[in-house]
Amino acid sequence: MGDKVIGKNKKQDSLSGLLKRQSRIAYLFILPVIIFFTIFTIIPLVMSLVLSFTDYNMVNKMDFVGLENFIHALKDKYFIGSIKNVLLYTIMFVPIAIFSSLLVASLLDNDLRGKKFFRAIYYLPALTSSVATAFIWQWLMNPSYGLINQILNTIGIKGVEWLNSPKTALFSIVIISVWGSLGGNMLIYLAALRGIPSNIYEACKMDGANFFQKLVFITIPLLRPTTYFILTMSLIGSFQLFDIVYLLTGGGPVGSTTTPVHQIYMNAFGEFKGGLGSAMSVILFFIIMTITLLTQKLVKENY
Amino acid sequence: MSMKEKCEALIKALKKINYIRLKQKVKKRLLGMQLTDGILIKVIIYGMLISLGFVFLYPILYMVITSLKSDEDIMNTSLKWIPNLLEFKNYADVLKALKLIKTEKFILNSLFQTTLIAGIPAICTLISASLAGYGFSRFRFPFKNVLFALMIATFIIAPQILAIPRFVWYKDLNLITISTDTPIGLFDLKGYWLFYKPLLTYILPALLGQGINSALFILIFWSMFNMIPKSLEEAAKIDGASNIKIYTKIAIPLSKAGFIIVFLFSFVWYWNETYLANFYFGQSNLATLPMQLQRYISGVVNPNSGQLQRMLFQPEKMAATLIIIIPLLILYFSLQRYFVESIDRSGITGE
Repeated sequence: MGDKVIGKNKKQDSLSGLLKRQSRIAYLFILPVIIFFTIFTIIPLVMSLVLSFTDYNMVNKMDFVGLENFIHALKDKYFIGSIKNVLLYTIMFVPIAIFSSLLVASLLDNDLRGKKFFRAIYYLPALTSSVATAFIWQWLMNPSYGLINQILNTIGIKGVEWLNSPKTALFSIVIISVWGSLGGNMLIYLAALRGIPSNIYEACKMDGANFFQKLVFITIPLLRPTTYFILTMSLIGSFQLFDIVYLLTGGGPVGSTTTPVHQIYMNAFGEFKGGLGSAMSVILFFIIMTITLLTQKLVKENY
Repeated sequence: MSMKEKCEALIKALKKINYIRLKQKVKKRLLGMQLTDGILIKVIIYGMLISLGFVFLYPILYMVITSLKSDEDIMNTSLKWIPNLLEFKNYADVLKALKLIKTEKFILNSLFQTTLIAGIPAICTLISASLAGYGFSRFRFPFKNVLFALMIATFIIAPQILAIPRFVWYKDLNLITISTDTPIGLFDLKGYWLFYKPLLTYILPALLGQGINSALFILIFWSMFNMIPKSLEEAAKIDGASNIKIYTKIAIPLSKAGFIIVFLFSFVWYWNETYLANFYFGQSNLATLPMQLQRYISGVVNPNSGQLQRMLFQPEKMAATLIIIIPLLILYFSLQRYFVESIDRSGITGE
């Protein structure tokens, strides 16, 4: 009996030894990332936090001012407006982006001729840099000579002001973002669709289900993890909206398209109020974190 | 019942049967039965694909046409689709303005520069993200879950937010060059160092797992390495392979698809990044193609320029915008057969 106990201990010893050695090697693998994760992300984050309590002017001045920046940020009507804008944008953009990419992917998942061609067309915007995207849409959405209004005029609809009117500007940005994000999401959906075993579809066809029944009862439920991934990515992405706004509207007209990141940029690099910009960054960070955690909780409850 | 009546009834019945058969046949063709799709469904699918594709393609076609118009054709508003003559001079002008051809020195060529600016960080990202992904996937160690959660959490931080402190940092490290000198001669090492120094602002974070969307790539590698059966690794260990050897000889070859997709995504994101690029390279000699496009267009058209000038500039603007999409399009077509497969295997679909 005594032998057995010793044997057991030995086994445990060697196991923990192995674990120890393993963890040493593991740290070796992730060490560079962890160290520089600290240097390039954690420290800047902390610096952001510290700067948010100062009146840093991007050059030399850096005095402690307490909560002044936060109060200033929360009273700033453009910053508050930008949060409203980004919420409105998210509510419009996320469902449209998910729905359209799912639709296109399920259309392309059929046995079709020219599948690769269509896939390339839809993916094209994902390869287009935001600068080029901005120029293309600036021209498409021009109220007087833009292509969209020309087409609308020929079918007898009065042209829309698009980016030039505070009423339609944000929605125009949504359209542009959907155009840009469709390809990437479509590819992810296509890959997920390939993962669904074909015998499920065959069984479903035997029972006489049509394309749309298949989509609603088989495809969408089975794609739930993928949709969750795309949802999270789109949510985070839409709260970080910047490029298109910066390049196309500069936040206007009358602040109707400005976003928090744009406000941060304008304050920090336009007006050299690094402290205020940092305070806004901190606020935005907490907003995104709250929303991500909230959706995660919601999704988990319904899963 | 007379014979005649009987015959008529029979004929009627036969006709009805024929009609039903015909109906079934048509239905079968149109809607499909059991294992094949019908024409109707196909037509609907094609119809939707083509009309949506048209929305995507029409602007591009129109851009191509506009980019080939001469000044007279642009002024002629009745002329919409077919220009009187194809003006390729627009393209020659634009290629030169975007510094794609005829630069004083080869290292100023924007295609070469952009390839470097996107390629080197992409390779660095590949190395660091795959190593970290492998570490998280294959080993157990203290604080693993905390570290992993932190790593993924970086995803929710907008790069623009970290830009302020990082910019301060790079400025302190003297990485942001304000000079327009180019290296003199082939062996001017100091010149090269000064010239390429701003690129370190991209390389350093990328090499250390903090480049553009690195968190996502670590996640991709993590889930891909998770799919490699443990037994393979154990077999290699019994044969005396070290961990590094297992990583290079088993993990990497088995996840080639993931390496391709991560490289491609990373490359495209770095290529198209203009916000950070303007920030870090804005005052140096380095410039990406999108930056050149921005400079070119804002150099010709500004808020003060008139309607006429704007109109006459349309062809060049279109040509320039098209040109900067082309290199990535070529890359996509040459790698597209890996695309869906790679994403499927990389596990981001969430299975």
